[in-house]
Amino acid sequence: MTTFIDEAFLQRLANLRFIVRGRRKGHLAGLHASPRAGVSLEFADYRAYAPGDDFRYIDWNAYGRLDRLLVKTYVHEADLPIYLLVDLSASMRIGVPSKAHYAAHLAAAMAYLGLRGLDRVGLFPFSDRLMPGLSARHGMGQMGRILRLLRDVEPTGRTSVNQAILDFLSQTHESGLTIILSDFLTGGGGFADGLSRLLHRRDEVILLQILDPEDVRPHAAGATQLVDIESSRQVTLTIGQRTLEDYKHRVRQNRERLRALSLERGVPCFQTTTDVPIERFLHEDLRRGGVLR
Amino acid sequence: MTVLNPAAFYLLFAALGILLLHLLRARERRREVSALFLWEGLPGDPQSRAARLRQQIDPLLLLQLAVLLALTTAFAQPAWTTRTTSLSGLAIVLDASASMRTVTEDGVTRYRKAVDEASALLDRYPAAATAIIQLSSRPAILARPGLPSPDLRDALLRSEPTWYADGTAAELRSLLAGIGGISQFERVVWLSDRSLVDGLDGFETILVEGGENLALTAFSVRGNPEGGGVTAWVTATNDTDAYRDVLIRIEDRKNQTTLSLLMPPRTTESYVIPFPTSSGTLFTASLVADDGFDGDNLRYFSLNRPIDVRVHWLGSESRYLMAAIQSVAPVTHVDASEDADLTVVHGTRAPASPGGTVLLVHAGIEGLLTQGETVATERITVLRPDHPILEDVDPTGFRVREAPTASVPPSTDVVLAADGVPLLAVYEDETQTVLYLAPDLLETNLPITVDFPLLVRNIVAALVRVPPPLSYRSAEAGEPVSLSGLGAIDRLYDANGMPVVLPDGISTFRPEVPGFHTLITDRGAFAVAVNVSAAESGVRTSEAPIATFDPAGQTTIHRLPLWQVAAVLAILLLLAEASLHAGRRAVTGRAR
Repeated sequence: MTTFIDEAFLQRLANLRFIVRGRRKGHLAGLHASPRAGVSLEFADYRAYAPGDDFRYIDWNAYGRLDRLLVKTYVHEADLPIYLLVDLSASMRIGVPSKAHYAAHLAAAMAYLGLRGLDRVGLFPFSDRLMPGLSARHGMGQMGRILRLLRDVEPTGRTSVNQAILDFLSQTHESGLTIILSDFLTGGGGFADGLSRLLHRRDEVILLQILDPEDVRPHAAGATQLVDIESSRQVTLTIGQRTLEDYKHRVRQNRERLRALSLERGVPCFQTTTDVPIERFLHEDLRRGGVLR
Repeated sequence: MTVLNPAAFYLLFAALGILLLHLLRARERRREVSALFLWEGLPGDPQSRAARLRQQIDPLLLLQLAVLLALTTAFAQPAWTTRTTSLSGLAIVLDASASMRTVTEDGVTRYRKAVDEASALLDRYPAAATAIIQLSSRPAILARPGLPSPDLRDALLRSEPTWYADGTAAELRSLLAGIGGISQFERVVWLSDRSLVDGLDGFETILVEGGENLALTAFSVRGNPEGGGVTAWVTATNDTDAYRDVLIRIEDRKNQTTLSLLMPPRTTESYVIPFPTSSGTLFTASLVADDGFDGDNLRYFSLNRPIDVRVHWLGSESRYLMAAIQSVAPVTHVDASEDADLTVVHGTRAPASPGGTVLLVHAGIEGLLTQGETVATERITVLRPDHPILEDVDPTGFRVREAPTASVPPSTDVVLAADGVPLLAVYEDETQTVLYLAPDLLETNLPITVDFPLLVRNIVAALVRVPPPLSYRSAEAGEPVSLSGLGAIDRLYDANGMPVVLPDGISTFRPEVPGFHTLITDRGAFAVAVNVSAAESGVRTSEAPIATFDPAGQTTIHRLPLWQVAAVLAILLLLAEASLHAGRRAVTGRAR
């Protein structure tokens, strides 16, 4: 996979950062608010003093007024593990640039945003299973590893998001922000089960569906031998305007199903095609969708 | 646009190869898709018009064919051909004869169309030294070479056709000689409704045609032998492609008679029209018909009797012959040949030559011209077609059933003969002039032909040597008419009543318009009937080869090669094809 990130691109991402809806636990200080009260500058609440509390947090003014010992609690700013699950199955090879390239580009950008926000970022490529990935770590050194992995892994194999999530859950035990980048063109299996398991672990999940324009608006015409790039199955079809309309209808239904599932589970879902510039997708779709700010 | 290497177009056969490859490739395309399940079960659309059209009309194929066409065109070496037309000398000769007055289907006369063509020539050769000439029986120079272009055009536009007969190439040649000779003109363009039959070498013709014509081409009147009224002879022509209803009207200024006809297309017919109520001397024949040229729908004839001819008659009477002679001139009978202007011998043999001028009709003279046995005759041979006796006479219409053989003096000039038998002959020596008409008139159709009075007119004129009455000359507009022998000329008026000035000592004039001209001399008033030449009626077609005007002739051809344009176009198309192909591959790559 070619180089897909450069200094100029990174500079254009300088004013972006992740917004996390819920507060997540983290054992290292970060820029994300954690439900674990701690030392920070941001006041959270009062609570009754309990033996063992740090005297420094007793609000003596409140004691003077109320004659009760109250301890001030502060929001603990914790780091957030960000997991990037990137679909690198064979179907992601479609298009110029390929969906895999686009997804890798997007994943690199998000990894950069996470690492720059002092979060730990992990990368997990997958096809019909989870491929060897990078567990979540701090620092720009991780950025180099992520880029190398994205560069080295070639899209291959079939797609099974469900299986990949199961593998992912077995390899990681800490919930975090899990971003799944895929075309989500899965035939029968779907991934509702995997998504449920992620949410059960209290992961905050974002779905990014990446399609090629030809997936959405194909230009085929005439007698055409259609070959499934993952299974190599073939269908010969004489494609006319009516056939194309029917196909587009199916694609629309597929995308609507994905949106309906994400809506039902309260999971943000964003759909794009590879002819949409990545910066525009980041700045417009993801910011408008409340993922970045 | 010319192509210097047309053989290069064989390269177009390569299109078959391109088409074949395209068809082979288009048979079935392979396409990788992300998710086959989205396609599975979709109904095919074999009847899709778009699918078929896109298969049949592939832009890539069109571009490839366009590249091939452009390359082929480049190899064919096309060139833009331009011609420069420059002349040093140009003679524009306009036919100004009466037939050019014919109104064409465009509503303008042939002459005006000729003027338009001539004007276009002036535009084409603005720098040429141009002469403009009107050719008719009276040719005229409208503009001499060297006039500036506006003056040329002005002279051209102001010109009008005449009522004259056609001019000849000889007349034109002599006219051109008067303005420096034909050699100074690189091109001589003849604009007319006919070709010059005796055309000059190097003449180019622009034919201006159009317009239908019905005409009276001959008209004469003869007094009835029985006395009382006249008989008119009329020849009418329908020079159209349709049957036409026509009305022929004969008028003598007091009375009139008419004849209604249905004339077949492209025919000429003669009619004898009795006019018993006529007592006039000036006759007008009119053809009432709708056609493009009305100048020949009117013909004029005058029965003047200005000078008595003294006739000594020998032999039996012949009312037809006498009537014909009387129609030439008033006749006074005398008893002695010495007192006669003309001795007529009819149906007998004179014992000796009466001397002077003798007309022998079915008769002979002892010792000079004797008739033998009568033999049947069939075919008449014209031995002297240019003899003055046959002036205006068409002898091919004569029919002679039988005629006597005759022994004639060796110096006799035989004009007409039939099967070796002389029919019409002239003998002349120091003491006498004898005209011999062999057959009995009743064995011929002469008395009922329109040419008989004309023949008798010519005979009387040849024998009596007095000027015949003007009416019997075929006076045509533009033709010289002799007025000698009619006394001292006082005044002459044309058909419109305008005085005609004759120079002193000149007794001939050329009438310019058809109609009755009036001559007043000290012997009385004479009417001169002037007609349009019969030759002006109808569109004549000449068998002589016509050198049609060729605008490209004598021009310099410049060729601007255009193969570079085609080559650049081919390269651009090739780039477009490559671009489209690359785009296709990109799309295909996406699909993969």
